[in-house]
Amino acid sequence: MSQAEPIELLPLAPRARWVFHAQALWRFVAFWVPVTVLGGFAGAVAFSAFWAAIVAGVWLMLMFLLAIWYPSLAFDRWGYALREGDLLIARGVVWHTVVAIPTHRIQHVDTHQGPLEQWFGLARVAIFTASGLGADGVIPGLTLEAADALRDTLVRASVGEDDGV
Amino acid sequence: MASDSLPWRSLHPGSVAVNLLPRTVRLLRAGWPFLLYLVMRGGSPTRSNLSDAAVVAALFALTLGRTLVHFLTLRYRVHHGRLEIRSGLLYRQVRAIDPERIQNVELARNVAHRLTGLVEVRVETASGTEVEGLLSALSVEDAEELVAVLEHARRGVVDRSAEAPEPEIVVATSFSDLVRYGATAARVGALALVAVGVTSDATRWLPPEQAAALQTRFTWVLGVVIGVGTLSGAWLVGIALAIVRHWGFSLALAKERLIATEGLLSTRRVELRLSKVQLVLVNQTLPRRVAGFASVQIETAATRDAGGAEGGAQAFVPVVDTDDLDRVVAIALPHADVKVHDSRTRRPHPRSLWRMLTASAISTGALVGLALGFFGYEGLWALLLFPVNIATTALDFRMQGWLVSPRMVYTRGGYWNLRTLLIDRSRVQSLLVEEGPLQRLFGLASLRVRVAGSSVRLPEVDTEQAYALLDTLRGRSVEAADGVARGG
Repeated sequence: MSQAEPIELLPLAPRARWVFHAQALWRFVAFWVPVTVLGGFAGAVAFSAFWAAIVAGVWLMLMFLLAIWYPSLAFDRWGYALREGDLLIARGVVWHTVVAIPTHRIQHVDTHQGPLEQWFGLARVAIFTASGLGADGVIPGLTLEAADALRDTLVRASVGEDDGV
Repeated sequence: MASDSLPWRSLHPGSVAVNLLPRTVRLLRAGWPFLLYLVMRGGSPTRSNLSDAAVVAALFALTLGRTLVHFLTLRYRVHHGRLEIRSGLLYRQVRAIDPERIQNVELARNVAHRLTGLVEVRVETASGTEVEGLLSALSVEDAEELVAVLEHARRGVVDRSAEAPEPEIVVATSFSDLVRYGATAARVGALALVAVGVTSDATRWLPPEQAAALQTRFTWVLGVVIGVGTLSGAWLVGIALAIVRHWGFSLALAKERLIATEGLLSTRRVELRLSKVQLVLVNQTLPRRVAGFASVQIETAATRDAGGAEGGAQAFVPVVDTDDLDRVVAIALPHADVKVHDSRTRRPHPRSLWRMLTASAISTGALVGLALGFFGYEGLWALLLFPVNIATTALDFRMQGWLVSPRMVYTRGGYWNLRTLLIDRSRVQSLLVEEGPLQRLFGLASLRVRVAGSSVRLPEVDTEQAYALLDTLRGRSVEAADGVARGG
């Protein structure tokens, strides 16, 4: 963030870290394992079974370590701040992104709860403007009460404003 | 009957014929694997012919039935100023569109429409996913009446007896303009390259004796003749396509609306409100910069990715002379305080060149590695990509520029295809500062500006400056601060 104007970002709910890890492990099991196994078979047929197995095994190990380590980094990097006139969302480990959404541009605000989020009592807030490019900003891992409160605050701030469309 | 309302009306009966052909084509395109299976499979000639015919007849009957249902169930009206469209038999839908939410209204006529004297009306809002109000075939009188009623409903004007002002032609494209446009189209070059490449590779496909004989005869003179012929053919295709698509193009200004009309076989008429314009894009490929003209796209919030630059814009002006660009942009963006070639334009940060060269070297190295892996020593030719990419990167960097004025955001980039974007600051929806790993290494960041329907990235600047720009642009527009009322 800018050194000239330090902004205090609010963190996500602490138990959201477990959701991040659970989602990463699910992706590892549901996507990376089958893809790597298929790729290993293809490599065994096209090249060498021995080397295909080595490469697939190393790749799976890397993906597993990433699933263990990366979610904590992502959790620590996510923060938001409701300033006067806009909502700021910062995120990203490899690719840092800071989004500023002027409150007077907000079209609507959604809260989502997947099964994991419901189990942990958390929710995800998605903020939409008229950009039409999907959600302009997403804040995962808020408690349900905090998500509802943020949604209501943002919607109240946008009522009656020029949407720039 | 009030002037801002229309009773329930249906599509013209000719819509069945107009819609049947494209629906059949869509069905064939969607079901080509099944049709291919029917063609390829064996079996008893008599039984397979009868069953194949039955399947095809059933599919056609289904298409005909859906087209008939569409005609019989679709109704539209303007009620209390809102456009309402209802349709469907099993799955019924009613859509209501407030006139204030309409971004643009398009009247399109393809060959079938022209043969039947009908027109397709497309009403688009900012939701950006599809044409929200599609009336596939109305009579010309009904279509014009609908457009007029919607406009009156939006303005709240009851008096329809007053004559509409004569539109003022802003840009009109001549035959020679279309020749210039078609001759410089990027696809012409691509076609020529492909044709020349295929011609030169033909020697590999021939039997060795014929290939050797052809090579001895393939002198440079023959090569030049073939090249010129290929290019001429490619040019002719490009010019023909430009004429068919943009024949008779004109951009007119009427009150606070821009009206674009064009087309030889399929005519297209688009009306945009000036108050809905989000950004203006000026496109100049290298051949067109040399030829002294550019193409201009005027985008509203209804802009969608419809496959290529021309498909996504609501009003596309194919030919604007370079000297005339500022005038056209000023009409589309009346509050613009920036010129297309503005001397105040700022350069990207000098470190951005090193970042771009580093990224280019990494990606080129990966390509060279792949080439060597697949082709062995023959893949060494890929090393030629290094000087090419370095030169391209340096040229791209040289063309980049940006400017944030009290009313506009301006960004420019690209050497082979120079794109200049002008965005009204009062249209900014959200902002992003992005820092990739290489950018962080060089202390750089990019600012991305989102407006309705589009997202624009400025050239790289110092990280501090990127966040300063974010703070500057996140506030309300200068216009709102000045209390200037926006018309339309």
